[in-house]
Amino acid sequence: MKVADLSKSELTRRLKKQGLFILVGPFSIKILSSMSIVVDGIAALYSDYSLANDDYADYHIEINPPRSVRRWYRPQVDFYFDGYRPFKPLPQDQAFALFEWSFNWCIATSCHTYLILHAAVIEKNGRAVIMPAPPGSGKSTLTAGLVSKGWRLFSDELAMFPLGSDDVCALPRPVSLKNASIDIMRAYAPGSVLGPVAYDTSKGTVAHMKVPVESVKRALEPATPSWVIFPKYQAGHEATLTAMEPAQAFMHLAENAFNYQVLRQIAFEKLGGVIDQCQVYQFTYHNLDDALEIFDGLD
Amino acid sequence: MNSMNIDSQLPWCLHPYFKPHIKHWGQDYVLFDEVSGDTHILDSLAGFVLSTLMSSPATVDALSGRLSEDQDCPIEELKSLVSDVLIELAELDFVDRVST
Repeated sequence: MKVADLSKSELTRRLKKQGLFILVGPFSIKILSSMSIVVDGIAALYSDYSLANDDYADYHIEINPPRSVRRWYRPQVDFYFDGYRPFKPLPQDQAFALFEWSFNWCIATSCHTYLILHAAVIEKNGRAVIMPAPPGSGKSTLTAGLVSKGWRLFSDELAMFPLGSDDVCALPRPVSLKNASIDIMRAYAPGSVLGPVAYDTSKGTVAHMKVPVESVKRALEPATPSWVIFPKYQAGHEATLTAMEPAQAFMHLAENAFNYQVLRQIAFEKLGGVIDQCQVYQFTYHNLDDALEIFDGLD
Repeated sequence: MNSMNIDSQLPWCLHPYFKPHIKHWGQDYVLFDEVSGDTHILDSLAGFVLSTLMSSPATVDALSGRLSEDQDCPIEELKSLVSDVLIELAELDFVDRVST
């Protein structure tokens, strides 16, 4: 049974009362929220995800107003993780974005059976492209563009390398678009579904793009890491793929690992293995069609 | 200290509080120190010296001799380069002289 099989009133009731249990890649999560913006976001962006048994969840995420006067005055929203609040509240119209950020935080801070990089991952023909990049590099726009043209989405934010294998695992979740990228994707992929828009966040304006159904269906199919590509959007720049020194790429990957300092030499060996498996490049682009041509030509 | 002060026949070893793991691709090395948790990128000479000392202590003469098998460079020049690298690595507490 999928989220889409629930009526709006049943979805609202579950989110408010016992929690909505869904499967996202290898994880089950329980979401609790009485906020209509979260209900709308889940209905719009998670409709293709399977419901999970409601007796266990890897992560319990609650997105609700604070239990204080701020419920009415300049309304805010809190993230509760297993019952406690790790962060300060945010304005209420950022509730759905807060859910997505909170989910990232839960995995990145606690899931140490994987080496986790801050990177997008896409796949074609069983081979994965790992794209680590700092905010503002155009990573999410590139990912959204490629995914809308046939690449399978593994993740927009978290590259998951299980410690027991040489694969990369999928964690397909909505792609986080910021600022100008939102309108770029509306124009580039007119059929794409966007969730609630959050304004004036710490990242500017944020909206999440729905994952193609095929990526959700195949969420448990891993892939072989084959390319590490560091993308950078540069206005007016021709799409260019430039080979990179593996050791230099290794250092950048280590900088982008959430749990490198937790896993220590295990992470070192794991990252070394990823570099051994992959061709490594820097990629500068301006136009998504040109980027698509280069990515489709990877061999 | 400079390379002129190093006795090329005295052996060097890894510092006792330095537990490196090394990987390399061609001439470029990366190193993880199990004790500090730090990761470093190394040039080929430092990578070669540390990789060799991970197996067993070695003198400047021995290190330079092994290097000369692959390098088209006069041995005296290699000794000077190896000595300089050892001094730099010693300043980082990566290597030490073998205590007698």
